[in-house]
Amino acid sequence: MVKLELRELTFSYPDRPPLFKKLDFCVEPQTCSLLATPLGSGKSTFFKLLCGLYPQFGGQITHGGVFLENQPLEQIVPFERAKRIGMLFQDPDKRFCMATLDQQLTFVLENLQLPAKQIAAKKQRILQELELTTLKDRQLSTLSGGQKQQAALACVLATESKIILLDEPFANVDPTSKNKLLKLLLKLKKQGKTFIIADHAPSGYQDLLDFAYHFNADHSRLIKFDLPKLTLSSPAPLRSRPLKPGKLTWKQLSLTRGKDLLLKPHDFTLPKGQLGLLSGANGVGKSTLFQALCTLIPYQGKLSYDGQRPPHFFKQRWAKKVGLMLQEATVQFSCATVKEELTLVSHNTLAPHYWTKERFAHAKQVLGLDELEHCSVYQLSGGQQQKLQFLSVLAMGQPVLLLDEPFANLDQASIQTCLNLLKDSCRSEQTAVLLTSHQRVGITEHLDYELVFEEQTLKLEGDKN
Amino acid sequence: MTKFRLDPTIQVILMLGLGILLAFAHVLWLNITLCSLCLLYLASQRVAFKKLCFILLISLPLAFGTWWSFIAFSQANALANAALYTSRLYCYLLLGCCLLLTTSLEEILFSLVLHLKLSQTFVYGFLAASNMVSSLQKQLRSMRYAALNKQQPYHFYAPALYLKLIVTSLQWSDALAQAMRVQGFLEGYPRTFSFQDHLPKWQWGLAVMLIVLYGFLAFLN
Repeated sequence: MVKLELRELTFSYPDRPPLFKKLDFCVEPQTCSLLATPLGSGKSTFFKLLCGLYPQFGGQITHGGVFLENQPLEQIVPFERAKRIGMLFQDPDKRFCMATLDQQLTFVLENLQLPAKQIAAKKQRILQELELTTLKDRQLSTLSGGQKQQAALACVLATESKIILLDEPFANVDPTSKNKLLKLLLKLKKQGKTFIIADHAPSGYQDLLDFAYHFNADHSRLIKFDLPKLTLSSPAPLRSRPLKPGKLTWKQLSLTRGKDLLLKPHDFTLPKGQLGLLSGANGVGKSTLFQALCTLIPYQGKLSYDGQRPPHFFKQRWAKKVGLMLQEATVQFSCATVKEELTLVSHNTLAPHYWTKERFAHAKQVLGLDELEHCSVYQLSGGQQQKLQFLSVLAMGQPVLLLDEPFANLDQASIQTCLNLLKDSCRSEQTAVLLTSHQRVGITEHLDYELVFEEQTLKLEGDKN
Repeated sequence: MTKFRLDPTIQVILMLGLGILLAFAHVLWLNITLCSLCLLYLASQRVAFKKLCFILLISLPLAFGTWWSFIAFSQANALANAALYTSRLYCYLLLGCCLLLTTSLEEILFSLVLHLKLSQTFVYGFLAASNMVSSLQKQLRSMRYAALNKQQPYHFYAPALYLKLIVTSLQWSDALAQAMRVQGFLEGYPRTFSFQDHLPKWQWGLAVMLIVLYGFLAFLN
């Protein structure tokens, strides 16, 4: 059994008050616990302290420390730490240095000084256990979010860590991949591994958990509580409404990714003034469809807005019609600070009659962005960045909005606020909105239709044809 | 019969050794001979003909520019100088092709680690960067479209675009460094190196001989 503990840990980022004050915590071995705290409360920082990334990669410990087997964690070399503590990051995108999963597993096993002759056999065993053999030689950059998380879990298993920290592991994972990951975690738990899962919106895995924690008000204690107190919700059913006419139309639209056909020739018109959900398994091509509708990638077939085809070059005209909210918030920002970003949007909005100064100020206030105006966009937490991104996309006022996982990093209260703003804008300006979201709780009851992306086609939910 | 192939480390040594001597040599027939030998080697390695033609085609404007600048501005022996420097351009190009079109990047770098003790930290960082190129291109398209959505286009000459790319690259490198640390990697610490690459001793001799021979023919003849 591995003993990992925090002893009177006080940690702060430069020029900020302490985030944790004399925090004591001991990881209970062979348990699976949930760290159920709101977004932006320090979960990722807490995990990075537990696995020794901080303070080496940021911040400073001003009192106490982290101890592994009663030794200060910073004195233990990384390859010995890795054998005891592993971490699954929230964003698996930029966590691989090699091109394929096979090469990445080799890299990890080499770090642990495993003899060269044993590496191949161990890799095969891990890939078979996780049913990832078909993915081993695929380029990691082409995998979907859920597949990347599975690949990342394979790397954690390669280190045989006894304690595994999972930071929002299901943020961009569809239900099928999530179930697969949960079954695996249950199997590993029976083998004696210890898990701590940080999740601001846990659902569907009560059976896996032993108990939950949350921070007290001043982050000096982690309070344990029993699972029955953890309220878990089920999504409300989506009530489809008849579709209205629209202006963004595609005919015989077909998509490919490399040699794989993602979408067979399909026809559809995005209805004006209605909110639609584009659902489907991870990796099916939802983000790829959005990229095609913004003409960022090649496609076959015809795409038009109000009868006009998109230009091949100089996409300004198309960008005035079709707005896109990307999964990665920092890519969306044009300015360095929150204030500059919002000022740019309010000056350049395409719907100044709707997005008046008063309405804009109200939106800022309800999203909690007015308190952050002088912060750099890169210093915000994931949830704050997403709220800023959401407002800057919505307030530009394009008649068509494609929102790719707009609520992935938001808690329920923020999701409702965003949905209210979106609905008001949509009904008033007759905006055609299509969004993707793996999270359905608190969302589906606000939507008007669902397009299900499966078996290389898009089907309207409830459409018997 | 196994296909003959020069070890990646030997190819790098040849490329560097001959490349340095090329910069000072003024022997046209030697450059042409070197280009011919490179083309023969590429043919023996069954390099895709279309790919090679494409590379030669895109270098044509540069070769023409070099040629023309000497024809137009040389004080004496314009034709000879033009031919010499244009042939030199193709020598460098074809030496690079011999290495990069016949061997994968991973194999080149791991071979250098094994035989020339290149830093593993540098190699893994370089591989990570090269694997992120396609992601960076995708990111660039998305950034430009997001800026267009806000009616503030990023032109290719806009410093703000490159600033964003630099910030993005710094964030990615930080994220990657953290992941590599969690996976047990730390610069300077011992780790297994499972890549295997047998380098016959005669190839070392061949590299030295070719470089010395080139030097003799270029400068002492």
